[in-house]
Amino acid sequence: MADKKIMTTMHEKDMQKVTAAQTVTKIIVQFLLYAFLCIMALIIVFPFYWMIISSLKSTVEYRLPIPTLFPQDIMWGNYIEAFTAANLGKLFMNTVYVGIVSTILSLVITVLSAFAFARLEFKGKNALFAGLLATMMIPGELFTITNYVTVTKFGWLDSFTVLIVPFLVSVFYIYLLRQNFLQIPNELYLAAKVDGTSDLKYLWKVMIPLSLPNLISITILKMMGAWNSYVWPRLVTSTDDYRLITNGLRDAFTDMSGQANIPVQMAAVTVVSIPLFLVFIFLRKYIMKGVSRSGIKG
Amino acid sequence: MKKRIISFLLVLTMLMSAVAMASCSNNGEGSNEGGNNGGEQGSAKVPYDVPAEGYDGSAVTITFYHSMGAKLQGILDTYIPEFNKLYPNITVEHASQGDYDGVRDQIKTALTAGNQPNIAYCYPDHVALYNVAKAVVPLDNFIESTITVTDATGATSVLGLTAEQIADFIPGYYAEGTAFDEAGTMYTLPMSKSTEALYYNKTFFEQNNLKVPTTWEEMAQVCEQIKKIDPDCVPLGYDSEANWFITMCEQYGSDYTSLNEDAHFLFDNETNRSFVKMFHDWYVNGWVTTEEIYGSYTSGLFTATEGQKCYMVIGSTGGASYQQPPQVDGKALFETAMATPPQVNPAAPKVISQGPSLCIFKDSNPQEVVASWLFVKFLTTNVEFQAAFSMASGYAPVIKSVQQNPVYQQWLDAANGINNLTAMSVKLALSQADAYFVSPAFNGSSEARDQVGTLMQDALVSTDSNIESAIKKLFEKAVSECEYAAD
Repeated sequence: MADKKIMTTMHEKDMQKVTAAQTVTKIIVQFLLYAFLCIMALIIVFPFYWMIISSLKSTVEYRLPIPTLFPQDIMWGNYIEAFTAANLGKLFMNTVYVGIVSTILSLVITVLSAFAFARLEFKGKNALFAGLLATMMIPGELFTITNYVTVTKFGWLDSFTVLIVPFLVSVFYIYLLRQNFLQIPNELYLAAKVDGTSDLKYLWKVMIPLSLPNLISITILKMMGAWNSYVWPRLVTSTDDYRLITNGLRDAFTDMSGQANIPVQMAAVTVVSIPLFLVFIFLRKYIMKGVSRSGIKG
Repeated sequence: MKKRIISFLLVLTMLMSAVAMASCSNNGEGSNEGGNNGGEQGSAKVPYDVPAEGYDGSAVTITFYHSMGAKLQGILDTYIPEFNKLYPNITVEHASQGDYDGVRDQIKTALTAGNQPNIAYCYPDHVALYNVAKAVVPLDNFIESTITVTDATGATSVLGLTAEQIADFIPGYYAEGTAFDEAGTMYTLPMSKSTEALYYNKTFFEQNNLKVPTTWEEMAQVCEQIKKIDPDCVPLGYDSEANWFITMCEQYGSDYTSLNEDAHFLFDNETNRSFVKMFHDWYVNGWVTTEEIYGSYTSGLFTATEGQKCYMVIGSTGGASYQQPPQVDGKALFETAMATPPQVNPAAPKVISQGPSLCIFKDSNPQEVVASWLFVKFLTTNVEFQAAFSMASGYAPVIKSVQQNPVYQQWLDAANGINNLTAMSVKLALSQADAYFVSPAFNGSSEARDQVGTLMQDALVSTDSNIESAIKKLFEKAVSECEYAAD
């Protein structure tokens, strides 16, 4: 009995030792984990911090051999200069317009195409879909010059049309939504048909609500794509009437000697980043879903 | 079956892409049909058929691509109505395409669709590139044209340039337009120019009784003296490695590049290797740094208020405002002064010519070309425009008579090394007018420029124990890269 008691006490002591060791290990792991996450967060946040402090420095201070981590004299004037030098207001409105119109039209085309490929039966459906998928194998850059020649011949240069129309159809989004539509059971469609529902009504009442998360992801990714696009708008627009914000940020702050006024440029970048930052704060749940669902970072 | 369909479609798509690209390249050639030859060839100047009637008064719209910021566009917008008083039926549309490379890239793409502008800002390298597609109008026949043009005020003048107008151009700037073939065909007219200058801390030089160097030997002595006074400093910053190399070739009279298609890249020679070795030694002594090595324009070191400093910078006169001394409580910490960069032979100085010129593109409507010529002529020969543009940009005007303009004279007189370095830099640029040189421009000359810049940078920082051999290898590599890019 006594032996048993001793055994039990020893066992408890061992258990306590093990538990203590586990706790220490857990604390160390947690510490390392948080330390790693903090370092990574700092690495990610630092460029934003650098952008903001640079936007408030004078050119002389920005060019100091040993950079300062906080502006010596805060130059709010950089923000005023950014607006006047780059015509930011106009470029901002252009970008919003192109973003909204292209997203709406792109959504309509994507939904109807995905529905056709997922639900309707017509001759050559699979071959057509395979053909569309095949175009995804060709890098978009290869089309740039041919697209440029085409839009030039259409007389579309320097217009909103040229910024919106060539990218309305995204095979990737159609593919994404078609797969989503295919997961909706056939029985629902057949039942709706028995009730005399038209295809479009079925699409509107049943398929779109069921695929809403995907549609939100597509909307966000398309908006982000429009906001971030650079090469095509740079190529097809030559006046501020149609230029987008990315072009303004890149081009407006370099003087004739090729030297850029980086503090003013950073002020402009900060201003332009704010809407995206707000969008991310309020829609981060959907953006994260969209990113994980589509497998791309937008 | 499905696999077959997919394979078939993939092949079909690839074939369609190939056809599209082929047609695209055909378009590029097609857009220049009827044009004349351009670029490197023979000993005769490339002709251009100027319409016999000159400008017939027809309504045309011409487009002008440039890299002007808002301030300079304001100047241009002020003078376009002045041009329209003479030629009301010529509508000028202009747009900034970012920086110089932005203009080049935009036009390079536009040429594939035959959608190029009528006039563009250009550097000689760009024109050489456009001339691969034979897209640029040779200007000799315009310059020499004696066709009479009557403007809207009723006044008559020749379509071309008069002998006085040609003589008014600063010769080095004007000659840049002829750097494209051995015959000296003129493809560009200068618009606005800058050069390199030696900026130095005048206060520091006076305090330490230092002599402003006029030769590279004197520069070495001054660097040594400065290093003794302030051991933590780098006495000299040179902003552009490529400019440094090219200027040294010109000053030594050694080969750099040539228009000869069989031997474009001539810079691998004993003289060039020896000056590169000399500057490597300077770098090892801690006497010099460059933009790429320092990581930013060396004006950062020149205007530094703490930490490492430099007391001399060789940089563009276009960037003079960045060399202005920092101020504390409204008082400048030192005074900046400027001089011609050191020379191998101060009696025959050589400084590089930079800044935009203007070229005109071929067009199916000859009246657009003539209208473009009239506008280019207006911009480059109008004293008031050249003066206003120079004062706003800090670049030198390209015609001498601007210096007689009272407003411009007043502006130049206000130059000082505290807060008006811009005017001071223009003054210096104008005083160096006889020293300008330009390098031959051909398809591949920009690659040569990039390669010698990299070579200079790599040679300076090389830690190889056998530095002669390392420099030799760097030269061989640079030439081989140039030849590869040219093939």
